[in-house]
Amino acid sequence: MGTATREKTFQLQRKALGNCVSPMLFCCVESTSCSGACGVLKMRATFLVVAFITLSLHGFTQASESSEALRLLQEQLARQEHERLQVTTRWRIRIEVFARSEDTVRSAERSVQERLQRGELKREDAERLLQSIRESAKDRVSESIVKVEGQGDFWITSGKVCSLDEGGSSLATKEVLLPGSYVIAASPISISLEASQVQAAPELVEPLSVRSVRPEASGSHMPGNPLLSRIFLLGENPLRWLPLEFVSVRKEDGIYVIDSRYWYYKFTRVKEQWTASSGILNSSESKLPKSKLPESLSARLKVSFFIDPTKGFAVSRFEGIQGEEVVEVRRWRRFGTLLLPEQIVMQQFATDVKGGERVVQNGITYLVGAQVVRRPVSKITIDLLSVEKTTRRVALKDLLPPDRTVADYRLGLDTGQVVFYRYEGVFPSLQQLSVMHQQQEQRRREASGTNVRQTARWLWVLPALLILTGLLWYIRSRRL
Amino acid sequence: MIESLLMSGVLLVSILLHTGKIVPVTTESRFLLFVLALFFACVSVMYFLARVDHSVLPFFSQLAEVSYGWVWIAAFLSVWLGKCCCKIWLKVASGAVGVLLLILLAGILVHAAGYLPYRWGLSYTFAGYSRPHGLLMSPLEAGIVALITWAWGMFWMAQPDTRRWVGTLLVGLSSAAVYLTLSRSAWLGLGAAVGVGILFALHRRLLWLPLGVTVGVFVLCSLALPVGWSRSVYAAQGDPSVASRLTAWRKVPTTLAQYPFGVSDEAQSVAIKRQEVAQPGSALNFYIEIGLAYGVLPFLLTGILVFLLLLRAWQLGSSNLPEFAWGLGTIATVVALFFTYPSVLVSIPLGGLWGMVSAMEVKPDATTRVHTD
Repeated sequence: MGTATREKTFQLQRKALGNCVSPMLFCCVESTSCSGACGVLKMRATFLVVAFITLSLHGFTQASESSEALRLLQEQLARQEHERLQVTTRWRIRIEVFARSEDTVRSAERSVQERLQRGELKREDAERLLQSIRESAKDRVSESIVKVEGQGDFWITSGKVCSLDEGGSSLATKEVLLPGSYVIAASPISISLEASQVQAAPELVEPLSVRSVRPEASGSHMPGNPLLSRIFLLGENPLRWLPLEFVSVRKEDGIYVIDSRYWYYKFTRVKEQWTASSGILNSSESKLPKSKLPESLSARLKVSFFIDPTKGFAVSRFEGIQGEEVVEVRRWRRFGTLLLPEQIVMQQFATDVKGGERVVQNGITYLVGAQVVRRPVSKITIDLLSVEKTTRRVALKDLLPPDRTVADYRLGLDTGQVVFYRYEGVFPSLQQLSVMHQQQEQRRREASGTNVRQTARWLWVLPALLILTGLLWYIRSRRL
Repeated sequence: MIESLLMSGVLLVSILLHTGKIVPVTTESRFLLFVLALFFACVSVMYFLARVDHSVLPFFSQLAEVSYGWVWIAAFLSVWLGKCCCKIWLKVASGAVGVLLLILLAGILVHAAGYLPYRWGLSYTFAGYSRPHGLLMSPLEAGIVALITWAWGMFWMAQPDTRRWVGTLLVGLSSAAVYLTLSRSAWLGLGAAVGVGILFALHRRLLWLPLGVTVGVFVLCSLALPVGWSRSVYAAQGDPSVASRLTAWRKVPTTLAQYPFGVSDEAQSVAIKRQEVAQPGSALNFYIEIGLAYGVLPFLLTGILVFLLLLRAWQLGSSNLPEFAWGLGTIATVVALFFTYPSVLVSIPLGGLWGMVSAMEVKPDATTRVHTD
């Protein structure tokens, strides 16, 4: 084989390999391709072996680095959580919900009216929707105080319900939150409006009457996204809420960043955002196939927790999918060896899609050339008022006396799958709960059907009377 | 099934009353009339309470859902019973309904001028124009009310006394209201009634004036607000309200075959979610709605009753009686209801109008005639 042939072979191999292999590999290729066809085969085999080893080593190194960092973070975050379970903190929570723009309100109103005219909405539902849309045209502010009492194994939270709903603003409750688990009890406490507005939360010493078992991260005292509130306010380990197979760790300017494609807070929400926030509006709400997502977009579909090693591995920042939710610790306070966030700011943004041409492709509606505008929706400012070592210890069984009626939401708070039962000291498993829910729904359907029929039966008296009278008249007419 | 059979029975009684196969007796009629009057009083009070205080709206909606289909037929029978046993009651009721109609018409016109006497969250717009509905919930209902007042105006125009001039005003205002609502169903109903009226006018010169006023006002309104005609064109250009009606109507045969006694609540919750059947309330056609809610037999009996009413309207028009105007009103509303359905409040004057037309004597030489005047 002449020099020209060797050159051609080399070029072909280089072309086939592309630009992803290092120049060193090409040197190997050239040196082994000098002795005929057999040499070419050997050269290819050598190349494949070298490439495989290199890539495997690279992957292994990366993976082991990542898993090492993850192990470190797991340890540190667990330690943080353990320490936070020993302290009692008080927080002031200020929730600001920003008014929607006039254009957005008008557009939403138009949409409701169009749906009504198309017969997709009942009038009463449309009216309710319009009322809420109008409400959203105003700025709203609410403030509450929350006390978090670490009990070693669980937290007791108490204070006003963190809600902008006027009805709930004077309601104080206390709840038991298990790390990485649901809220297992909530107890409303009657307090006067004046008392609820004072700076300190009321001292609550009586046992909890078990009222509800709430799923995942929810909780009445957790403002905004309750999972984030738990992580920042309670110091809960975020890895409890992230399935490890979807987690990756990187380091950025000395800060560890935990990225995850999934978290245990509203899976459906994550899926929705894949389509809705991409600037391509999917009106049918069907899932857009993952393969169709642009790479850059796919990369942004994740949540990121920032862990600062200089702050004792505390979570210092959170970025939601496409930056729609941002949480930031603005100030820190030292308490012994523990660094606590002194001011946390949670911001939520929404994306409005304006204009664009509607194009339907494969049953999915796209808005091509639409303008995507990001606007702030709400801002939650949480200030640490006080911190102290927990002095009193309460056992869980003392807090949760049995023989109470429980509303169990673990099957899905969003879907309203609530099961009511008598708490006997043990909570049913999810499978048992599912069976109980089916039985309860069956009973409800029967009861609801009975009510409608009963109401209708009263009204049936009138037509029955008319028919009987008509029959009587008909018989009389025939006799005459 | 029981509700379907009860509705069938009541419709059958109405048909037999219309055809004269049943002769009501005073004692029972008075009792029934009292019960029906109570029913209307309750419905009316609830309706106005719901308009003033929105918090009772869901409660009223539930009541309306149960009683909705019965209101028009109850009004229909009330007129019949009033005619037979209690003419004073009939006069009082006619007066009350007349005042109600005038208030509703005034509300539509005031709303068209840009004033809504109370806060109502929904506004119906087309090309930037806010379609008036006044005290009613939608322009479609406003259209039906305007058609009834139009018939009333036509009736008074046929009177020899001063009512003639009031009738002219009423015809003009009602025609304007029909146009301004931009309700295509009301337009079509009015068009049908005017068309039939022109046929009658070939033999009765007296009819040209009210028909001329109607057409004249309609033309004037068209010139002042030409956008209304764009709405008619829009119907053929993918208007979603037309498309949703057609979609629901296509499902009606299979729905009726599947649920011959009406679509039950249980069936609604399961099958409707899968969009297999037409949901009661989605067809926006009065007759089909009866079929969906009560089943095949009430659907057919309503068809028979409406046919008999149209026949009576034709007979009234062919006769020399001024009641031909109510007949034209019946034609207009029957046509309009192919594309809409009356609410609880509108069902009362509508059923009353039909009952009145049904109870009218057609013989030109008849000694006694029933009319609301």
